[in-house]
Amino acid sequence: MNRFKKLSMLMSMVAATAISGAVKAQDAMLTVVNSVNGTEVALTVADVTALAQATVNTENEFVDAMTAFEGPLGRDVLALVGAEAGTVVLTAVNDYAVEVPYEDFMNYDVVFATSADGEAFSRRDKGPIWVVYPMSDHSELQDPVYNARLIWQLVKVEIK
Amino acid sequence: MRSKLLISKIVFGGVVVVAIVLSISGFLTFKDNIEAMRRASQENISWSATQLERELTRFMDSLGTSRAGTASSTVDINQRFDVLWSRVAVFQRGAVGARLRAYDSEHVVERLFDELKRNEVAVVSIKSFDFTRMANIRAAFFPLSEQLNDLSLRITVGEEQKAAEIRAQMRSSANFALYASVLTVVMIMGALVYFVLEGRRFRKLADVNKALAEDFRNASEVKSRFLTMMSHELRTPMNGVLGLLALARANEDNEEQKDRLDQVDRSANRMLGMLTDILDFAALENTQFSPMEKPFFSNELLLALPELLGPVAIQAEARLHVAAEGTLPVMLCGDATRLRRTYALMITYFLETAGARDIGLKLAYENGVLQARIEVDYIGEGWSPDLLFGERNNSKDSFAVEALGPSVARVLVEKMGGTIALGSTADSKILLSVDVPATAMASKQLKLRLSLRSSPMEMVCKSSIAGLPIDFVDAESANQTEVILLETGIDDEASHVADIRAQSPLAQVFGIGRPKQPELFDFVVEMPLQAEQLRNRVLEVLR
Repeated sequence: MNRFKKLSMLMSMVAATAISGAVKAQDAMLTVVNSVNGTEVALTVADVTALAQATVNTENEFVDAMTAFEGPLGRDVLALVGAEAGTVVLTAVNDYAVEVPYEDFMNYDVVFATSADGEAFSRRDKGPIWVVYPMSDHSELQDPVYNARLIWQLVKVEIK
Repeated sequence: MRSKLLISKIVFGGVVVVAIVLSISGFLTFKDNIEAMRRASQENISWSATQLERELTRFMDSLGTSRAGTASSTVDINQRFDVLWSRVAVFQRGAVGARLRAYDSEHVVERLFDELKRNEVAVVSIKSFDFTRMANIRAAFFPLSEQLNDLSLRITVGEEQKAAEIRAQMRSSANFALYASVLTVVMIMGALVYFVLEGRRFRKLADVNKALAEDFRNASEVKSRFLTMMSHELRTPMNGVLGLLALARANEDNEEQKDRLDQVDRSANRMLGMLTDILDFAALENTQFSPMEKPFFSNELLLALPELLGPVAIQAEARLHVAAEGTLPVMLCGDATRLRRTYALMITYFLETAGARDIGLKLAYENGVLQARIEVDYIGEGWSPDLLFGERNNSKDSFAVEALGPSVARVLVEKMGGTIALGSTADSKILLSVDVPATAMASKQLKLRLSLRSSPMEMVCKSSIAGLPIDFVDAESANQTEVILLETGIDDEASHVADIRAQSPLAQVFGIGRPKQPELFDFVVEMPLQAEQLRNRVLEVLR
């Protein structure tokens, strides 16, 4: 591991610890755990909003038309716990979980969308977070394998 | 043969059409397969239906466990309620929602959503130990549980059927594509075999045709040789007849007999002319014919024509005048004999056929082409020298005697690489333009002086340059002399050459023999006299 990566991981862990310490469990919008290095961070709505926001314009089989999904990029969230490789387990509020290769987040602008066309998701409609792939920009993503990864009501991210 | 060719074309066209049809069918099948694969790769909606059923069960379970006072809290009930709501929302939009709704003919999901909305306030405001409300809510949703189960089953079965249909369609399409490909390959192979067999047959036919053509050429050559021989054999006695006729006329005093002998003489001459035409025609038909190009004096050509055609013109009571026009070179290189013959045949044709009363031939030279302009003033109107133009008609039924001369003339022009064009002059005379390539050898007479010590040497030199346009001059014309042939080997050669050059400053001095100082001369011809060298060098000066 080179010196820059070590420093980056250290800073991420420091930031994660700082955020985590300030959040009560019931206020957490999203919990991010790196089981490889033992780091865990609980993000509130404000924390998620404070991250750099990206917009992905795409269609998928669960929306009627081209939709602008906005939220932090998945790789930015994973970076908070110093993730560098492995399998990412995404878990929904109903305990439904899918496993996603870490490379997906590096190869594509996978967004942890908190709103669609400017309207924030409620828990009754895929909220608080819907994992969205840029399917319109990459035809190879228009496949049931990736449809299954469009998990909504995301509450936990774990790197194994 | 034609029917075979037609069959080949039909077979080829048929193969092309069938191949195109099969290709289009294959493309459409491929497109259908892609579409089927796309449909097969759609989201599995059975899972979504099952999830809805499952979440309803979990929500009802949360109400049940809370009532039992075990673990679940109102937060958990609300969370399950929201998740169930979100599952219903899946049915309301997107391609997945549309496909799910298509199965829900009994509007179970719609009724579930209505129930959710109806119980929303009750769920949101539920207290931890309000077991009565929990039981009421659970009872409200309970009937829908079984209906959702039926819906899930319908969706699962329906999707299985669709998947089976897609698989069957793809299998059928693949089979069709396979049959089409095999059929195309078989047809192409069949067509190839057919064309190979046809190719062999055509090659055999070509060999037969080649042999026939060879036979025909041999027969034609035999015919030509026969004509040549016959016309030659006939001409010899005809010359004898003409000679004896001339003698008979010279010794005949009786005017009436003289007239008759004149008529016989004209007829004999005409027959002799026709024999000459036949001889020429036979020679032209021979593929070995080629023009014999050599230098000739243009003036000789101009003088020969009136001499040759004068009697014919007199007999036809027509005037014939021949002249040079523009700067006609003194000497040209070409086939003078055939040129003379061509012009003679054309003029004879006009005299004998058109009823010409005045014929003028003007010769000019421009850009490597000898241009002959034959102007014909004839009696009557509308006549055209057709035999000199258009398609050559040598068929046995239509080949007239009068066509022999013009035919020979036009073929001669073609063989010499020339062209014939027909027009008219401003005063409505026929204007025939005959252009034949020729090389200008000399534009004027060369003034040449012989400074040789013996008469035999002079004769040798003169014979070497005989036929060239040379005007032999003596020392008195020193200023105009252009070439001097000076015999070498004398003691004071250098001073002699210097004197000669002083007298004729414009002249080139050619040394004949072996000079002591060759550099004093413009050109040296060694002895024994290299005649070809001398002639070529003089020709260069002439040009």
